[in-house]
Amino acid sequence: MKINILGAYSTKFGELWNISPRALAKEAMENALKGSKLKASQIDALFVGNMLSGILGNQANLGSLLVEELGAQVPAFRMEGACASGGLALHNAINSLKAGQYKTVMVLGIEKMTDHSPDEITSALMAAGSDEERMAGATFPGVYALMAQAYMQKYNVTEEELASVSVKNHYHGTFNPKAQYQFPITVDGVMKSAKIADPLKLLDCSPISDGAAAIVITSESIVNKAIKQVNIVASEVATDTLSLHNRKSFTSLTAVVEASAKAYKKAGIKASDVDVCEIHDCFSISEAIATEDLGFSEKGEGARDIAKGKRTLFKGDIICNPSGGLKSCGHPVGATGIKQIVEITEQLRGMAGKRQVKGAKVGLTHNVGGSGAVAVIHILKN
Amino acid sequence: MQWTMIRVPATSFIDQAPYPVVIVRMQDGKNMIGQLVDWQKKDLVIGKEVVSVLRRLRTEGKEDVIYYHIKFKPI
Repeated sequence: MKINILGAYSTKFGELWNISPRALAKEAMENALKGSKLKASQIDALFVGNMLSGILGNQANLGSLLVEELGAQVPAFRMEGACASGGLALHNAINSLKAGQYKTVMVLGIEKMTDHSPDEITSALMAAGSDEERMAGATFPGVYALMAQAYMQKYNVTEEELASVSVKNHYHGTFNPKAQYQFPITVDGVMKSAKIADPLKLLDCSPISDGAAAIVITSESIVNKAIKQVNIVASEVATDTLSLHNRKSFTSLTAVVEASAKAYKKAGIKASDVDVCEIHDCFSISEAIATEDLGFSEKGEGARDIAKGKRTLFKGDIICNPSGGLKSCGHPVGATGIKQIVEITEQLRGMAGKRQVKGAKVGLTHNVGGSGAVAVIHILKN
Repeated sequence: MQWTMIRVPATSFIDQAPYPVVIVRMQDGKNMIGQLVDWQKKDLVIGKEVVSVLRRLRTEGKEDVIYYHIKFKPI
């Protein structure tokens, strides 16, 4: 059974103080429907990925709320796995198609999180960690900072080399009209930015953002001859311990290694076959480690390969985060996993405009929850 | 011992920042995470030996219970 992507749309990401959750969901789903050339009545179910609506907005029952914005009173579900909520929503949507209960479904990732103070948001995001981490006074940047310290010491990597991740992603963001930040930054700028959790500085960290992204997927062979058909050929999930300190390694995410191994096998490809990918760069260190866990770079060489331009648009071999990644495009937590799919879909359709990776045939999305407790990998082909 | 310095804290630690958080390998081989207390700048090196201590976590809990928790201090 082929899983076909019909519509794929992302809203602008940023501080969208004047756009409500309902309005954000409506914009994303309406446009995904328009792109599918379908009516709402042709959607069998809605899958929503979101992390913070309960914690920050006192709103649970999110499937029921947001299906009202779809315009069809169909079964609706919310999936949550911290920052992997979007990817998990898609994974479950795909499984529903494979089970045959639904034929065509909408998958929506959405988050509203900018209307809060830094300490409020920091506390809310630590819901993705463990109680031990919270009681130790750890924060999300803090947990990834502990990984960064270990990685830098083990492989002799410098803060400047890590900073090149943010620089690359901001460069890519200048080509993305939907990105939260569309300006370039420099290694020097990263080094001078305020420390958040040593050694991670402000510009090593993805921002707090509002935004939504939606896709329509179907198991039916509806073919829109005007657009190159893009299929999801693998959707795999793996988990690891919730706490960083209980992991086997602080410099590798086992969940990513496992999920991607399963995905490559399913898709019948190896790592080097990937042309373009969207990586979960919640922090600069995350992307450095991810490119190693996904098999693009040798262990310890992830940051250096990025600094050398091997993952950069127009000059690299495996292009990472053409959208600008989480750092430049923004990271509305629940929306990111679906935005990644939207970006790769546009890349494989040849419709990514200034960000186009020429001749892209195989795409990968890498969506991580918490500090690596859950990883969702999708592989797409045209 | 692996360390980081938390400079932007969560709400319940807002009056303590900046403070170090460490991951420590205990004698039985298991790891723990905790706040580092009674520290000086020279203690913030990977591999520094520490000892566990019982310290107050928060003054105001629900129903006015005082929370205590395990923290670490440099030897």
